[in-house]
Amino acid sequence: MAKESGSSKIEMLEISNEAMAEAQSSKIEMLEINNEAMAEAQSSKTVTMKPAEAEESKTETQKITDEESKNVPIAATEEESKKLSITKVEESKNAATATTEGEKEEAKVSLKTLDGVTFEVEAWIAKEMETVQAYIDDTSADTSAAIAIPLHNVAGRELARMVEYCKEHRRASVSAGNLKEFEERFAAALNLYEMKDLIIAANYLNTKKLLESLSRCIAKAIKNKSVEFVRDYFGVTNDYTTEEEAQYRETNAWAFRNVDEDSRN
Amino acid sequence: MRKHLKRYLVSDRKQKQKQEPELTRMEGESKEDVWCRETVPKVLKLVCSTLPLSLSHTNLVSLLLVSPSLHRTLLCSQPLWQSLNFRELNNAGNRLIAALSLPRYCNVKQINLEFARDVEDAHLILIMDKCFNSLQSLESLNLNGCQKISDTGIEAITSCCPQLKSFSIYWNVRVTDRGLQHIVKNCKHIIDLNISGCKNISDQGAQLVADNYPELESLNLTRCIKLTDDGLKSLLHKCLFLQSLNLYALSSFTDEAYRKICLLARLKFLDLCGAQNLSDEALSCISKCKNLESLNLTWCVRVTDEGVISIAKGCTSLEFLSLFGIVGVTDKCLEELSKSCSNKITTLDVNGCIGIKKRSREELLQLFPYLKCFKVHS
Repeated sequence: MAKESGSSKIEMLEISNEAMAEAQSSKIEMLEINNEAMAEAQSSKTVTMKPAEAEESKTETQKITDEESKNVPIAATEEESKKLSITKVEESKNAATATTEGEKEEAKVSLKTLDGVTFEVEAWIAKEMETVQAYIDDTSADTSAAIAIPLHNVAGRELARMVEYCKEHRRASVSAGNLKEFEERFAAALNLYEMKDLIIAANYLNTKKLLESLSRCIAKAIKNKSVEFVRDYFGVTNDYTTEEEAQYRETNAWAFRNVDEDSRN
Repeated sequence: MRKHLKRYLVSDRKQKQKQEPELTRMEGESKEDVWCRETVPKVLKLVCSTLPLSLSHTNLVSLLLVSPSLHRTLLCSQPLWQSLNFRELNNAGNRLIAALSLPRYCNVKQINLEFARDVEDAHLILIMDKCFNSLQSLESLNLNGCQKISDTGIEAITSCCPQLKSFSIYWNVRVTDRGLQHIVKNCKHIIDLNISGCKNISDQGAQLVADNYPELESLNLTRCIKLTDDGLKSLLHKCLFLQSLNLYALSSFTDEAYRKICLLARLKFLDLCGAQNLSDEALSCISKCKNLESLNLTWCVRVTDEGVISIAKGCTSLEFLSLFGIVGVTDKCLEELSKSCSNKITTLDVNGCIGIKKRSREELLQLFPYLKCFKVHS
């Protein structure tokens, strides 16, 4: 059984790699295919491995929440798994071709994440990531995607989300209402764990709009909330001793709203 | 969104505990340690730094109490502790003293006590005595509506603030020219001064401001009713960098002073609401302020089409214009405005202008397609 699961994993990777090579040759956007390939790899792992093994083999950034895994199609057999993977890649190829057909070829930039996934993104998206833009400016790198810019602190999953954010943000920017709705929807789809990774990635790449949007979301969640609420919200254990906490509260009593009885307070 | 890492750690542990209970527990704890001691502080530092104004100091102080590691991380971020906002809070004077006695507020740059009505001279004197060093970097002080403060309090607080750039103390009848004397003596770098509603300021005070603040950028003299042409002229001759000038509800000035407004080449905002002596001739002088973006002529009853047309021709960057209550203007001035400013004007109030017949939204939008606001005064 272990052998079988191992071989199916290798086959899966080969399929994904072929798909990626095909995509590059036909100038299809890497993002969608990478996401599909990653999702497929995740789903086949879930099927063929013991839960404990699967859990161990995932990196922190690759762990999928219960809600997300419901949306990942799970293949009943290895055969189906292969078919599903190929079908998905074909679908994404067709979709990508449909969007690029008739459109003017735009300059692309290659970005390589810490987990080895390469993304080809439009130059305007790279510009949104000020760290990437600075790298391009400093090295006078050719933006024809010949050299993949290494992103040492960003995983593929976060980069995929950032690219998605940039694109959707651009579409939604036509009206303030749309933009607000999109930002709320985008943030609502993330759990705190994912939001943490994304904030750190957005900070590293200096993607200001995303960083502000996520910060707004967290600030809104903790604004005017008790210390206990914030601890619970972030799952943080209280390391203060009772004496330390009491002393701290006393020193900072002026800041808390219950300093004295007043309706305006 | 409140599904946090703890959930993963717990499920992780449960799955592995059967095989290697001791080792697994240690691994789990170290992950949790990283989350509590590094990740959460890092994220919250980013949140607080990205949106410094969205969380009050009350929120920030609460965050310090979440955990020692968060306390350390946030304390290291100096910009988070540069602002104290006690707007409308009671007991604000004592709170401010308590806050300024803490090391983290040793470089505070902004203090807002607007409508903190219990703040009085005694608090400000105590701050001077106890927290003198904490205010050496202060750049902005808002004492609006603190009506218990007098010249004595102003002397005390300004003596601690050599770097002050913005000072606001509107609606305070206890402030006199003597208070302004302390301000100009102690604070040499003021570029934004709001003494709106300080009815006891006279031409002497205006002269002090003119002589000491040639680089002043924003000045609000609303309802400083003791001022005369002489006081205003001294300001207009010397404060040539003014970008914002508010003369709301000052009806005693004459054209002699208004004409001098043309000296302010950088002026962007001008409020002349209630300037009942303002004539078309003075308005044509004001039209030389080419950078004007906002002009309030509400109840300037002597103005006619002629004055507004000169503004239309001279001030082509105009975005905000109120002609509310001027009966002497007609459709003619709007047509002229449309020729030169139609692509800029977003706010236009012509309510009460009975000489203007094309006053419906549709008609105004034909002349000014970018209009968003049709009423300034309710």
